[in-house]
Amino acid sequence: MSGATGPLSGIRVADFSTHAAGPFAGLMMAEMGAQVIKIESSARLDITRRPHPMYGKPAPSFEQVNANKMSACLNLKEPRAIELALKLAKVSDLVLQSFRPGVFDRLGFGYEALRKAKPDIILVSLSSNGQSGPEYNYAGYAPLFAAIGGLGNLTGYPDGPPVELRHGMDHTGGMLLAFTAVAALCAKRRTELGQHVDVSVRDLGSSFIGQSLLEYAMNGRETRRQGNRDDSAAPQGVYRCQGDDEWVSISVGSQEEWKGFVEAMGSPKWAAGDKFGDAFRRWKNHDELDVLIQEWTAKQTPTQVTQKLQRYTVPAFPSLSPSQLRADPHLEARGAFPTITHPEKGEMRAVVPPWRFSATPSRIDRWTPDLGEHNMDVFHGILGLSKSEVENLEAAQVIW
Amino acid sequence: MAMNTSENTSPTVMGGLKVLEISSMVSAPFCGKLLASLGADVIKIEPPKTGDPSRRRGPFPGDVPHLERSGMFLYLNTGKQSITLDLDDQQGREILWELTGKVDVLIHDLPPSRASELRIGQERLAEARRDLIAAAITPYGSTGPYSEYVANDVNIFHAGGEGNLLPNGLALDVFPDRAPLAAGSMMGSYQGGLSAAVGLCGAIFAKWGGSPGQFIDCSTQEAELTIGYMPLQRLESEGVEEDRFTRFFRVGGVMPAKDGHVEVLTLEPRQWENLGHFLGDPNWASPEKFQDPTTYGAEINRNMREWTADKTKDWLYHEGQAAGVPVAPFYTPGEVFESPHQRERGFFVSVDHPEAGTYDYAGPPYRMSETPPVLDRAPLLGEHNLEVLESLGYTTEEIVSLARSGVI
Repeated sequence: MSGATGPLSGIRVADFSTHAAGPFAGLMMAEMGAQVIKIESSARLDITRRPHPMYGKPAPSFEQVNANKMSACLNLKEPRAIELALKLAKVSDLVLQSFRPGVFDRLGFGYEALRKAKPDIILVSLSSNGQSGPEYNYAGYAPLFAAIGGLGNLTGYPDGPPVELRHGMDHTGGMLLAFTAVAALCAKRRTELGQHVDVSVRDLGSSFIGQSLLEYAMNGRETRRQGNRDDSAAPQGVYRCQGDDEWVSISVGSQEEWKGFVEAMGSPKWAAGDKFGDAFRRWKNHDELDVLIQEWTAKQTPTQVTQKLQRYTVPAFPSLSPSQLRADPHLEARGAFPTITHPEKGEMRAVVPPWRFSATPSRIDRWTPDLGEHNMDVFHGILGLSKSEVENLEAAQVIW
Repeated sequence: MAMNTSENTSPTVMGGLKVLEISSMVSAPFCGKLLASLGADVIKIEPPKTGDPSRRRGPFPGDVPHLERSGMFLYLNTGKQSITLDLDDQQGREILWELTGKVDVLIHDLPPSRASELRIGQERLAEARRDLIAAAITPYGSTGPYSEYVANDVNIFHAGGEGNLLPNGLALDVFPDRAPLAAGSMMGSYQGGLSAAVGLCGAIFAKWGGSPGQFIDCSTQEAELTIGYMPLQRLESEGVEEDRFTRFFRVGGVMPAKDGHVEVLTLEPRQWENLGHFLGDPNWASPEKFQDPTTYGAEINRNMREWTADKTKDWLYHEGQAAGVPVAPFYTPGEVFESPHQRERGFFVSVDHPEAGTYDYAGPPYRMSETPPVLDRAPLLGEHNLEVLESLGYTTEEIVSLARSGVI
């Protein structure tokens, strides 16, 4: 909505995406100062406007994903709504969509139709499996594309099943989408070319396991789940601390770090012998080592362990719960939770954008708009329809 | 897949843009790799002799360690140039400073004290390199009490909040007492690099529109925080704290298969109905039971796990999808590598490397119709020393001397 100082100020995005991944990309652009118009409809409410299947009510946890945006309604089943959508595309730099591949074209709103309306339009399409290939129209949510991309199978305890990756995967897909969208804006600024960007979130999962794919290509060997461990650091793990469900992560990668670690623990006798003397022995006796380390961590808080180890330059940090994150002094000092005023709920904290630009600050300063809150601003203000026309189209359930 | 190759020389997004990268392992290298895929000229600075630690990490063909054959390095540094430079040497720092005057973008992963020591701290750059866009990609950001903290991937994933909420579902049922879990394959580090690349593209876009150069402070912890903002929002507006014991979909999730596992997730009533039909309309999967997952979720899942356990992943995937049920297999790297869909899409790209050999690499995770991405091989250690130093005006004699004295 606002944010005229961000790097994308002056850019207008028509965001037709739904659920989490696409809207998150819109949010990233809105936080960078683009004017992002979320197009949605009462005819088919976005999941963020409906009772959530898990939480049972419109989930407030979705509040941030459409922050900083405007909301305008279009019932895309109506031909007149498609006309308006094309008009909006004409005055936008970029269109974002996450319909099942083929649906956007069937609506009369595919890349060719958009290009006819505006030759240099950028269309960014997000889908599970991409716009082509034998599985292009398969359904997918975050845990599904994490699974099929290969990342899910590498997540879990070594002796247990793989683990479902959820919103984090959605939003990481949204982050990739934002990367391609801003890259396409860069291309347009330079070459004046618009284009169609095809992002398959399944590819994202695979691009995060590139080294394991090469391991298979090189040696025909499958990488396996490792829990919190890693081949190149021993000990490495998450250890129980004092308190209820309190944990600290520790990673000792080099001999120097091992020496620091032993000293930080007060040089216990068990650490002096040959058994844990080098990285290979520590890796081989890792289970036994873990028990000894946990005896030490269990008597302290995660913060105490972290401070002791960081003094010796040994990677360690608490495994933070949501409330611990919110109370973390470092994040507090960095202003990671800016306060936004919510029209009904009053002041609430949001999560800061992930970049601190020195010249073109990004920001989050306005909550998710109500459904259709900006109908008049968009259709009258931007597209130039008369106010009564907008009202008539609302009554006819076109702007709806 | 439509890619930029020697045969297809379409314009690229960032052709001609000069990027300098001081980085190791995953986060900052992945960011640089993404810019290289857009056509930027990325020069990576590595320590002489040893190079980026990822060169020693593997996997190696035939398990024989070799600085030029590490899969992790080869993958994360595609399309870059490499120069070696001893940054603890005075002349090394001088060359670094000269390079910052020749490039458009600097990416590094140094804590603020080290950046200042190398004389590329934020303040000095703001003063003397006003046109430069510089991004510091660090675990906890460049300001605040933890800005000098060291971290590996496991630490950062747990520091950002996502680790504390994993595992869920089946893994938690099996091991309720174990430590919370980081995602596999250094996911947190990849997320940090990806997020920084978005910010960099934003700054480059602004610069091409007339904005000045600037500094971007990228904290991987905050990237994790943004990506995982939902539990924080829930805490803030409802006062409800999510934890790994309550945070799962009551129906579906990870299901055993004959040859591994699949994921089933039905979020729409129509999908529940389809799932019921797919399972053969048993009494335990009636629409009424799906509508009350709190009461019946455990029963449905127990039965469904039994039903899926003797079927293969691919059968469940293709038949399930045909029946309108969102199902996907947990593919191993090998299964991803062999996937007919990914092969037809051309996701894998054959890359030649003079030392490592020719392998199919995971390609760029996006397609652009007019400015297709680029995928070139990773550089040899110091492969571009001569070329880069000559461009700074060093003579051949000087370059030989720099090499002999260990500066490069």
